[in-house]
Amino acid sequence: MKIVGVNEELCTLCGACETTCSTFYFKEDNRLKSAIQVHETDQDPGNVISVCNQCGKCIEVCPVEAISRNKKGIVLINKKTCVGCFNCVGVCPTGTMFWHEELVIPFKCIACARCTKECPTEAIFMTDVD
Amino acid sequence: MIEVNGKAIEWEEGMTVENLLLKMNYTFPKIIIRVNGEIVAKELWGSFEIPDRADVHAHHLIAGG
Amino acid sequence: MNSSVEKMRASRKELARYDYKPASIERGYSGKTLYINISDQTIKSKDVTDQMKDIFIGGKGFGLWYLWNAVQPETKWNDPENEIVISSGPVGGITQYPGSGKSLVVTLSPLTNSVMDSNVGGFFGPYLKFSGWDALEIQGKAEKDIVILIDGDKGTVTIEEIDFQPGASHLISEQLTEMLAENEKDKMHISVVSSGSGAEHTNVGILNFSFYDLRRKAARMKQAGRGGTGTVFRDKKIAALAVKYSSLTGRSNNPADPAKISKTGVKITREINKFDNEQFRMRQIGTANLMTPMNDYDLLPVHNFKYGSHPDAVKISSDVLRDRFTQNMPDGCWIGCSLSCCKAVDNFELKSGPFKGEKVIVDGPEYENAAGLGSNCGIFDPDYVIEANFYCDTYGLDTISTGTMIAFTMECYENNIINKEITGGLELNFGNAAAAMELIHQMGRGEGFGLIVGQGVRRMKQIFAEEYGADPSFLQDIGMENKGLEYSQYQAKESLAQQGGYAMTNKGPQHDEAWLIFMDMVNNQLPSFEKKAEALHYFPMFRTWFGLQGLCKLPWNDIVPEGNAQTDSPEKIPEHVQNYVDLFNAVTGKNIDKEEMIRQSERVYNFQRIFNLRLGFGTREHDAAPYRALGPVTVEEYESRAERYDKQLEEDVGINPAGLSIEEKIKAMRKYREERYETLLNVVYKRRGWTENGIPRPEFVRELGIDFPEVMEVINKYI
Repeated sequence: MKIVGVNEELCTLCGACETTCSTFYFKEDNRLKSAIQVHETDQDPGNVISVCNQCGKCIEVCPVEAISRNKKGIVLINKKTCVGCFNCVGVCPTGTMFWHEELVIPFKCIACARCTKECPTEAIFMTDVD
Repeated sequence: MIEVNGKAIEWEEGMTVENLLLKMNYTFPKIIIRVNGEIVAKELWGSFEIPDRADVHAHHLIAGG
Repeated sequence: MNSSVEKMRASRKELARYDYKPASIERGYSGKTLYINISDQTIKSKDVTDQMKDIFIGGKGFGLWYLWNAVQPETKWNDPENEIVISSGPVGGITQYPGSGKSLVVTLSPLTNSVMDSNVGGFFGPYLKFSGWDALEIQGKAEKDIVILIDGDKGTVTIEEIDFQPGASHLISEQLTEMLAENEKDKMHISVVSSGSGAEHTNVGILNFSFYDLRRKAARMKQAGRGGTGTVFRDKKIAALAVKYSSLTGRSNNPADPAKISKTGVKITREINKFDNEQFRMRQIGTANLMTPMNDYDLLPVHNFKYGSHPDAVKISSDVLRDRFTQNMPDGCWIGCSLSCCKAVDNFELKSGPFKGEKVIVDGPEYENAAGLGSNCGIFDPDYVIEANFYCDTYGLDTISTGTMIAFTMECYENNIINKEITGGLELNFGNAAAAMELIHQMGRGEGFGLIVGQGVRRMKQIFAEEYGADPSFLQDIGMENKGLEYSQYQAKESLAQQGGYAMTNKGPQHDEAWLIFMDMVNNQLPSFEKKAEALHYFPMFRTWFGLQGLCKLPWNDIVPEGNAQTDSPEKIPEHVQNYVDLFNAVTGKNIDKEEMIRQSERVYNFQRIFNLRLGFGTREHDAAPYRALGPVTVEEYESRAERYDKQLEEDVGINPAGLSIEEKIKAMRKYREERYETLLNVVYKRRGWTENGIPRPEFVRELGIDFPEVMEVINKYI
């Protein structure tokens, strides 16, 4: 399946990915409502790009079976079924099941590739994984 | 002699926190250990040696079931 | 199964119908409660007043208030006036914080003849609220078995006759869920309350509240276990209740500050993910994680509370039970609970009884079941514990009471107080699993010795003394009940604080109110009477709070946050207490603090004490404990802890044990412990604002704001 791949050494924290994602899905330029988030750390490699790698650990903890893989293997939340319990947020090993206090349900990267088209340094790109 | 939760217990030279817990059969999963008022972190239980005449508190964290 | 569900559908006969527009939920309340009288089929809506919200909050508070107004001092549990009230609470039904689906069931108990409350998980309470009802009151008695259905989607309440076979609660849950669901996914929108045939033949009937498990494709059950609520239910000829509600969201309570709820919920869920495996392993083992530590610390009830450990206890250890539970399932009994502690044994093949040979899902065993049905009866066979758990659940029998009842009969049998003739051939020695299992089946069928045992320990003491010439004082000593309710499965013998924690309760010796054994016995944190009194004030009040709100108390201290050890009072888990203050305020929009939290509980707790008084109980004499709960009754008990007891005689009592016979030592120890217990009552009553007779003082009652005229009328009789 095609997921968002990252090369953190190339990231300049410009935030274009965050703007693209949050504007498209939530109609606001708000990095905290982006399903890809970048931030600085004082450890190697310096900048961190947080985005879902579609590992699927969240699928088994959802009490209402609102999370599943589509035909392309991408992990999706069924917004109608989700009851906003955030168990998935709590269990996510990469911290990329995001949530925002204004939103009733969590959100995550669904590999739409829009952000990868806006990244000026190709720090993010679509990549094929099994 | 040392005091463990107010009870007098025989001291052994070189006894670690881990040894003490075994001796007392303190197998509970969540215990806070204080030796002479200072908390001893769990990672150090195998190496920290309890001095003679120490005041030890093995605070089991349970107040309900 | 389908044909019987078809039969059920076809047989539905509506006796009464009430159409309504479900009230919208505002800050945790619908503002309406549902009253149903099944004698005359009245169905009506009542308003929740501001006074109810301020003084009684919800849950147990609403239950007590409605029951007080429904009954007279002379009302008996099986009079039509008695009510069953079910209510969750303002915080109940949120999805973000673990343990948010509890309901309280309040009624008059066949065991105690006084007011009883029992908490229970499952989906019913939250769905009831979101269907528009902060509480459900059922009064009266039906002529024939009826079912009450509440459809929160359509806005209808119906009383119906439906042809199904009552008697096995797991089948009722399954079939009624199937009947009401449009498809598989829809089953999660339904919760069924039911009991079983055991509730018709004993005083220890329970109510099972179902919750649908999508992955197992099964309706599972949690229990309102204590006090015979199921016996009242079946006596009223209620076959089942069911609620359906399909529109649950993370904002169903319409909270004042949803962001705060989400933040607090995510915080503790991350905490659980990080620490649960190294702390209590609730997600792996549930409450059964206590089996091993209790045995290690000599606190596991063994042989009718005689001893605290047993070499065979390892056969039903925490890890043995963990290996029987299916792992990695989201096992919350309310949707979204990340503590996920409601473990199940899957595909368990039953070896006895009406379902012999079938492979079933067993909800449990919880600690109480393994300790009560297992070690307390000297039975260390995990298969027995699991099967007994299943049958108690489906027959509708309280596993805690059943365990203590069977243990009592076993000690009586071993002392020749009862014999094979009386037991109908059952050789009730400690450890005889086959005899114990048959006794459970007899309680389910309503026959044989089971009819006597099923009346409870208090009645058995009377029966054995009157009909079999047993020594009543020995029975009084070993019969582990207080106020008529059987003790739950913790060894209080060496913890004076826990002795009070059990026997000074409003409803009877359930660890609901206090669990102080470790703090007292092991940590030695309560060395003085004053400290014990403070603990017996704070913890019962704090723990009562959960039952007002619709909350489960397990996420309070069965997961411990980072930095807790460095706080002033780590056993209170201060950060979690603050979480609960925040949740209450975030839902209701109010602004309570930790002190007001306790005050909320004090109002309801004292109201319940006064309710007991009104019914003719509630005074000091009812807080007395059987001596087995305070100290060693028999020679073998003394000898099992001889060194400890001899030391205590010498150091604390000031008597030199050398040269004394064991009977003399037991007697001296008894005098000391019984006096100590009386002193404890004095200091605790004082701390709680009560007189020496255990009556809440008028000035304190006024301070609490529960000085209604009918309340003061009750107290003034005693002052």
